[in-house]
Amino acid sequence: MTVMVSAFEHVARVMKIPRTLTVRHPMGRPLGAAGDKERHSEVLNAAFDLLESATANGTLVEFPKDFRPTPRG
Amino acid sequence: MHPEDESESFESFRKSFSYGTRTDLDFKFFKSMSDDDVAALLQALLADLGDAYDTGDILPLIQSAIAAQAAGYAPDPSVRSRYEYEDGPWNEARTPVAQSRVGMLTTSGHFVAGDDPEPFGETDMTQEEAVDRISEFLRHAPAMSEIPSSTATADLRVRHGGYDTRSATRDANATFPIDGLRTAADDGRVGELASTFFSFPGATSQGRLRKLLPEWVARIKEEDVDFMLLVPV
Repeated sequence: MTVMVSAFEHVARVMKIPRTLTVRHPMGRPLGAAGDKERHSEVLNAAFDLLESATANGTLVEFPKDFRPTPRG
Repeated sequence: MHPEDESESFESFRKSFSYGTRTDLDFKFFKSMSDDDVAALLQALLADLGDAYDTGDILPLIQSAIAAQAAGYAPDPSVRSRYEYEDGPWNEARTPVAQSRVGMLTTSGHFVAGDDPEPFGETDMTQEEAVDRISEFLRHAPAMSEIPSSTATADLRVRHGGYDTRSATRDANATFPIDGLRTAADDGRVGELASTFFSFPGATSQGRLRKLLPEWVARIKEEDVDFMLLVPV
């Protein structure tokens, strides 16, 4: 089984990727900004949730939060 | 810089961000946008910047750039992708995630310090050199690096001529979430991690990559995982 995290929805659609978590992140930061451990874990957990919730090939779920810069402090 | 005795068209300016005189891989998508759309984006960014002088809020700037990225990379609907398939490799989940053995494959171009894949036989190729030589990468077969899941994050290196690796250099987890996976295993969110994760630079000859896939798949299957986290970059 696979789950993909990607900023590019159209690729997942045409390639019929089984499970894709799309993120509204800049290219090069699919898990989040450098140092944003909380966001990295949130994205991973959303990907794990998708593994258990998807019931058909080509399932796309959008991570619900916008990108944020690296938190300070 | 453009020679002062020549005028530069906006089209030339726009395209210069994609492996040109102003290479900036965060904005290389300008090349595929129209002059009007790039002009509108730059105008919006400058307006957001002006607001940020007072508000200190740069999120509108970031969101404008991300929205433009999505538009810039959107496919031409009149062109059929050569990677469009009729169906996909669906497999039902058999094991709860909390009991699963998890693997990872990224196209981020990560490798372990001391185990440089040495593209084209070059030792210690820098990120800048990789960007300059992107056309060579696109003609050659990639090397898949094996990264023990116990690798210290400080021992990870990244090199990829196709995306801006600043975030990944500051923190590998931006594109290779090894710390997050270790935390997930420690917290019981996943059962266990594979012994080895994998990464390769995705800017490569797709034809030569396809020929390597049987060998790569066989190697990945040796990790005997229940699921793979895929992170294309």
